[in-house]
This record gives sequence, structure tokens and C-alpha cells, in this order.
Amino acid sequence: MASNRDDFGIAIRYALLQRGAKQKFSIFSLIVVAIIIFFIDVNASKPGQIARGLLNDFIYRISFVASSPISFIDYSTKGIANHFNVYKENQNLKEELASLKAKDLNTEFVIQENKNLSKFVDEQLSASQELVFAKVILDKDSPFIKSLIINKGSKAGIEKGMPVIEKGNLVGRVVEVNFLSARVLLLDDLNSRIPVTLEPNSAQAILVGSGEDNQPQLSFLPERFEVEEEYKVFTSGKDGILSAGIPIGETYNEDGRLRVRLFSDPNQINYISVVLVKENPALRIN
Amino acid sequence: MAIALKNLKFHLARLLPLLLLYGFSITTLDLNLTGYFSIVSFNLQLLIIFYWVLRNPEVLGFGHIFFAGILNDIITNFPLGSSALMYLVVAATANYFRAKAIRKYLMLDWLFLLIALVFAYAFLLFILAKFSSVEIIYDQFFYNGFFTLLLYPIIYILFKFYSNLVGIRDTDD
Repeated sequence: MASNRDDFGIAIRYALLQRGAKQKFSIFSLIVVAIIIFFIDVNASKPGQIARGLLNDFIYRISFVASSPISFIDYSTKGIANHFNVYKENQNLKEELASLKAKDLNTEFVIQENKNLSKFVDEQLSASQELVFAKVILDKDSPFIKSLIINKGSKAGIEKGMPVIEKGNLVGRVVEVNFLSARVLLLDDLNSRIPVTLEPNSAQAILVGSGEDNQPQLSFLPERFEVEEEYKVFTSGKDGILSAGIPIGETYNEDGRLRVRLFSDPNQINYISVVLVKENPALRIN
Repeated sequence: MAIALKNLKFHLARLLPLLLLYGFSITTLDLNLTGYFSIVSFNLQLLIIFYWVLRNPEVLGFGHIFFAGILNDIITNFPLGSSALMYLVVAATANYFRAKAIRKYLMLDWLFLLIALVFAYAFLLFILAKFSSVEIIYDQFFYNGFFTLLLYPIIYILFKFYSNLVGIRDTDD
């Protein structure tokens, strides 16, 4: 019995403390250092945040350079695949064009929708909106976080919470700002919550990220509210941060859950624009 | 000259596991299939660490394992040190089994890996849930660990082949 305990103790000591011939550090000392770093980071003070920001900038740049061969292969593969899809795409486009021509566009509906949307658009904000164009430098496909790293940061005037759009459609908002880079939390991330309005009947809801690719859900819809597929979803601006009327996507049903198919596929984004708007407390609804 | 060149080639070839560890930690390189099946993702760094610490810890080095974890935290936006802790827990468990096990073969490795992953994920989830504001998707962590475990035999065969090719021996100091 005592011998077993001794064996166990020896093995534990070996596992944690022995450094071996070429090891400079024991696992135990590194675990202690990692725990200290973890608690410093979790309870970050202002200087700690600045240091973390500088470290992030530096590592993101290194990562961007190190990932460039992978990005090049990825880009080339997609290019070749697109090339072979041109014929098929052409056929699809012809069919789509014929279908669109045949469609009787309900202009009255469009006018009504436009009127409803105008109510939500804060003209002052939209008129003074300034955009910062940025390149996506890192897009790590993680099962735990859906985010992008962009090559602009506080130097370009970007602040936490600012909306991020691609081709006029909302893709997420800024959650981390460094001096030369920023992290954009995508709409499908589990932590993403965006107040939205549904058209044509102006219902209010919250768009909640599900953690799954391109499948955010709608929550907090009005009671007894029945949503049909292909309702258009826009920002409502009720958080006081995002301006109203930014297109997001359209609704669809999946296993009884109301989800939103995003207009901008988060996996296909290379360039984005950050809308330089500051939080407007007057717009916030508590 | 020829001997020096041969030595250089040998040393460079031995760096592959370390390069893979850093590559998966700092670049966008991964084998995740979340684009096709939302639940299928792997933590290849854990497999690299487990295999080489169990066989020959000097191929990676504990300092590099720690540093790769820190880099991974920055890229994935986890609190700094959390991935490093997870990697080190796997390294410590593998090192413990290295001291206890006389023979090493796939099935035994696999069982050890299961235990190492349970420790590592439990430890990570505990510190994240208790001390950070990170919202945890428990399902995703479970699936990630499960598919990582499933992938091990393939990694085992590849690394075994690589060890024989480059001439890296198991060490038992």
C-alpha cells in the first residue's frame, strides 16, 4: 500500500517537476505562470488592457503573415472552383432572370415597406455616418467564437460597439479594439444580441447568435406573433448604438425555430466597413 | 560538409511537430469541418502535445507548449493563459503516464488520452466558468473533445510513420 503511494508520488513529481535533459522549465512552474497570467488578464486594469492591446496587434500581424500561404491556397482553390462553376452559374442566372421578368412586382407593397422603414431610420445619424474601410486579416474558424480580426483599430477612430457592415449589410459589431487592429463579433456568435425589426409589419425582436454558422435566431417576438418565411430583418436601433434600418437578412423556419439567413455570409468576408457612430443614450430603451 | 548537411536536415525534420503546434495555434490552419457539420471540430494541438510528450517530450519542449497556448488565446480571444493551462494539463497527464506505463501501444494511448482530455477540458471549463465572463457552449466543448479523441488513431499512425522516417526514438529517462 505504502509502496503504491510512493509510486504515485514519484510519478506525480516526475510529471510536474522533472525538467529532463533539454527542458528549461518544469510543467509545474509553467502552470503557475499561466494561472498568474490568466488572473491578470481576467481582472485587467487600464495598463493591463493597453499591454494586451499592443500584444494583440503584434501577434495578429505575425499571424496574418504566417497565414498568408494558407490564405493564398484557399483563395486559389476557390478561384479554380469558381471558374468551373461559371457555366452552371450562367444557366442559373438565365433562369433567375426569366423568373424575375415574369414576376409581377408588387410596387404598392414596396412603397409601404419603404414608408415603414423610414420611420425607423434616424436621419441625423445616417447623414453624419462616417465609414472606415478595413481588410479582414484573420478569420480563424473556431467552434467557440465567431469573429474576425480587421486591420484598423483605435488609430482609425474605431471604438467598441460600433456596427460593422459589408456591402451595406450588417455583419457584426466591434468587441475589441487595439491600436492597429480590432475584433469583430459576428452575428452568428453565441454572445451576439442585436435589436431588430421585421418587415413588413414592424415587429420588434432580438437577433441572437446561435454559435452555428450563418444561423442566428429571433427571440423576444411579440406574443401570438406569427412570422412567415422571408420577412426582411433590419436593425431597429433601440440599443442606442446601431443606427436603424441596416439590412441584416431574411427569416426562415427550421425545425420550428425562426432563424435568419444573413445577407452577407460571414464565411465569405474579405473587406468590411466600420460605421463610426457613438452610442446615443437618447435612443436607448431601458 | 555532407555530414553537416545531413545533420541540418535531421534537425529541421525533427522540427515538424513543433511547427505544426505553432501552425495550428497561430495561423488559420485547421481541420475543422464546422462549415459542413457544425459539431465536427478538433483540437489538434492537444493531440500533438499528448503524442510527443508521451513519446519524447524533448521534441516539443514545455516552454514551447506554454507559448503556443498563449498565442492560441490571443488568436481565439480566450482569456490569456487558459489554453496554455489546458495544454500543460495534457502535457502533465501524458508525462505522468510516461512515467507509469512500461509499454505504449495505440489502445493504451487512447485510454490515457481520454483521461487527459477529461482533465484538460474539466480544468478549462472550471476556470472559464468560475473566473471569466466567456459564455461557454458546453455542447461545443464536448463535441470538440469527442472528435479530438476520435481523430487520435490517425494522428498516431501518421506520427509513428514520421518518427520512423526521421529516426526519432521514444525516450525513457
